[in-house]
Amino acid sequence: MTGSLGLLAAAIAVGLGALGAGIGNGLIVSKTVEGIARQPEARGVLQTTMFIGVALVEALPIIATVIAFIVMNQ
Amino acid sequence: MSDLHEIYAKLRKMVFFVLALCALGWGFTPYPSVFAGLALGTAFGFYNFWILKRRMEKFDRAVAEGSQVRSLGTAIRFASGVAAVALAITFAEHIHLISTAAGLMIPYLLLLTERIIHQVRHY
Repeated sequence: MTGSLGLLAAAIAVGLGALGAGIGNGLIVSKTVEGIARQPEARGVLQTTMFIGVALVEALPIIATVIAFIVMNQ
Repeated sequence: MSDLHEIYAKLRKMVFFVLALCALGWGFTPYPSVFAGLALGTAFGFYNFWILKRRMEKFDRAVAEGSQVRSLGTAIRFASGVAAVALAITFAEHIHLISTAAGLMIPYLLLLTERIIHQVRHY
């Protein structure tokens, strides 16, 4: 198991990753809702773009969480 | 641009193909633990996509009805990634850890590839 510094490093990795994902998701969702409000007929296209955007934004924080978990269990 | 369900169906097809390749690699190559890890990671990555699709549909309904959405399930997706790695750590002699972490990203790579191919063909 890791020491206290290792735990701190894991916490920072997860925290910063989640912060980035939160900001990114917030921007994507807000712009999508704005777009749907402006053009309700473009809902399908906006939803698809949002799906891809959210998926790609969340890829890196998931890897950060996984690596932090691996480091904690070394 | 194609519909969300269409993208999900294509992704499902590609993920099953990758899982079949992993099964072949597990059975016929000298690296069964690596392919087991890749398959486990891919399965959990695809589970993440399924959750995301479900939440997107919920979000769409909520926007149409004018109600609120609490979350898009980010914490669940983080937790499922950790669960895959926890399984790999628990069964370390059967499942390779790094390939599990790499396998988690395979559905994302497939999504990117599919979208790039779609853009090149249609625009």
